[in-house]
Amino acid sequence: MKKTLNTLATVVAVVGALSLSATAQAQSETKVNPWKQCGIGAMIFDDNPTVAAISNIIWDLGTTAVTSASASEDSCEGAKVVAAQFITETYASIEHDLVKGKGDHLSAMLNIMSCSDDSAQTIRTELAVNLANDDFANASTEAKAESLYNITEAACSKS
Amino acid sequence: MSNFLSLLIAIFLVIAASKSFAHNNTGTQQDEKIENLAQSRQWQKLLHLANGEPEIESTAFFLSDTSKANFALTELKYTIAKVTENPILENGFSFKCNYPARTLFLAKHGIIDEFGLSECPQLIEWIGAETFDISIIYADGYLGNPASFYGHLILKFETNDLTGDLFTNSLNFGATVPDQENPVVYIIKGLFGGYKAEYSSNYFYRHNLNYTEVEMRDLWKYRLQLGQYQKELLAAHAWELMRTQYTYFFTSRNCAYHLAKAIEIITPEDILSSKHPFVLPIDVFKSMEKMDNNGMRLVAEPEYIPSRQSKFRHSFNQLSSAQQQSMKGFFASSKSLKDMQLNKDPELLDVMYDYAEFALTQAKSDEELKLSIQKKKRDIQLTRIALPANTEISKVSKPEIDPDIGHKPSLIRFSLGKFDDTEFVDLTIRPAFYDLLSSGGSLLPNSALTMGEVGVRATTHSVELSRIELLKIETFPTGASGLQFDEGLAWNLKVGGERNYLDGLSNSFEWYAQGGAGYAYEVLNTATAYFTLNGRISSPNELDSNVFIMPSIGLLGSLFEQKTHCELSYIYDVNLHNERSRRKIQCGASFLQSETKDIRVSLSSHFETQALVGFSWYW
Repeated sequence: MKKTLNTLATVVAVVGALSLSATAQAQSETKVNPWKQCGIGAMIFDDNPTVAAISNIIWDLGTTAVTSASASEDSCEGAKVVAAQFITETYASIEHDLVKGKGDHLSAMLNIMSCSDDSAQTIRTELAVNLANDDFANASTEAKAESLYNITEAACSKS
Repeated sequence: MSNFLSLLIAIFLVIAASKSFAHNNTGTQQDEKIENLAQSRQWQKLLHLANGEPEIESTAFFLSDTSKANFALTELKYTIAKVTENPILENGFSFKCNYPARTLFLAKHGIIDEFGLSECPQLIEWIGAETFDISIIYADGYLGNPASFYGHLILKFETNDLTGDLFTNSLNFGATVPDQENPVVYIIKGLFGGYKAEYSSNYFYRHNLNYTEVEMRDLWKYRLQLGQYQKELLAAHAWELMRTQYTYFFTSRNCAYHLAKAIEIITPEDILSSKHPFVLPIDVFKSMEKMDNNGMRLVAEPEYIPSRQSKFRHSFNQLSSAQQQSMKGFFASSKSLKDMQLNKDPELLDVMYDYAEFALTQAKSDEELKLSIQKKKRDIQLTRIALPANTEISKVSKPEIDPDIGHKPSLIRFSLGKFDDTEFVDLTIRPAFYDLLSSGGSLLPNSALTMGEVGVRATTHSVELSRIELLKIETFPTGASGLQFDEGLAWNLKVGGERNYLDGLSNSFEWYAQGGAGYAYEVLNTATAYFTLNGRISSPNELDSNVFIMPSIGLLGSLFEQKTHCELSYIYDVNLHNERSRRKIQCGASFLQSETKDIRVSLSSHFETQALVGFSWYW
């Protein structure tokens, strides 16, 4: 449990963003983008892909694994945000499973996003295209995670 | 008529009197029942009372004044009144759902009507499902952080959720430590109660990430074999504990202690004594492993969750020697996989990928090195993803010895010895934990980790303090791949004070700090050979010498299934050079080792020679 002023500020920003966006969400019916509207983008995943950086954020946030029963699917407390957080925090492990073709993190992502196992091959093919792209290779972990989330959501809607 | 009226009145009075008596009698019985419940072990455990005092420091957790006499009874009466009224509290929960364990307890004993956890949807959501199990996760000891030397415990829910293990909820107990805390302040405050501690809950994937991917620690999952009421009570109590706070003491009131005290609400006997000055996570399993619960063992056989490093080493060892050499060649050169014709072997590519991930976590702030590994990783990714996907996940086999096997952590040892013509008796007291001759599943192999070891020596002429080992860490790891960051670096760090009985001088007490590094190798699958270069600074001895350089070679292994260790060092006196420099030999062995005792023999020779036989009692 590490807490610094910086990370506390991040936590406040994240929590603030979460609650503000949740309020905004209640007032609108638009679909949520977890990165842009729910504060995941405020986390420090910039150019450091190591999980050590993620680890600090985990303990600082001290979040619970409780999602409100009253939260709608499109709110910042819904399953989409949980999936987005999971993909961002464990991006390296999910990518690792996808490249190899199988693994616990890949299964967990498919399940939390209500995807069938058949989607894995489609996501793998899309990821192969991304990996060959230099811009993608140099992108931040957060951007890679958002891309993977979108690929997965698209693949799941087809399956 | 008047007689008949008199009779009716008389009957009425008798009935009224008997009803009143019955009512008073029922009330008395109920009072007695409540008084008995207040004294029951389970109620006292729900309040976390130790010697009548609550160990929970958050006064808001309690409904009555904890300092008053008969606190347990008063708290029970208040709880019954509140449960009956069941008001909505400030946090939005009903009283029953804010105190579901207390409510379950009262329902179980017939004080209130039936109560089920399903009445509290937020609690069920927190647990993950209405049908669940509970496990305790043990994270191996970690030498990278003093607070993690002895391992860590987490309570985890097990559900059949499709998202699998990673999305189950888990409960962690830890001190609240500011980031960038000075290490010395950290140790002092941790030892002497300078931090507050509390529970937090989180998805298990976050713990899995931190332990197995960042700190490279293996995890062990011990599933509790509980009945339905026990499961529900423990889960409900875990929910209540989220609002509690404690003072943290690294050695005695730590994660192991407080988690054990939480679990004790469903065990027939205490897991840990509240009087033991040193509590280690592994104590919890050693105790629970012996407990029966309704005809079954309280804990099932543990499940092994390997770290990224363990997975990589396992898969590396599955490769042929030629594949291993190819892999080392790839990471040592600037050539691509295609250039080296390694682009068609998915098995080799998978191991390379495992290693690249591991190496990236170890490169830390070396940006140039990280870029180099990233480039290799990308080559591996692009090559591997073009090949067919795996259809199975390779499982890493469980180590032979479970963590709960091994001697208890604290030691008292009596030894008889002789050096030159002097016979002596040594008393050694060690709060924790193990040395190079210890065996057990929770110990880092070929390692020593001791804190606060004190030795007293008695001869016919004197009784004196012979040594204080404030901290001693020695590790000679094997099984390394030889690749960068996995080279099997052996190292040691020792801080303390001692009388040097073997240097041929007066036995003055000298404070010292010593450290060294080297390499260790596995020999014939049964022993570990090592060499290290060590340095030592101490307070001046009789000849004003205080700086020493000590190259050492050693062998750790088993002889007739008994652990043995021999080390040959050359002690070079930097102040007096060859005049006082000489080789030193130390050999030791452990016999008849069990959870509570063993026999030690040792022979040491420097300027003088000493032989020792000791009987150890572990507790």
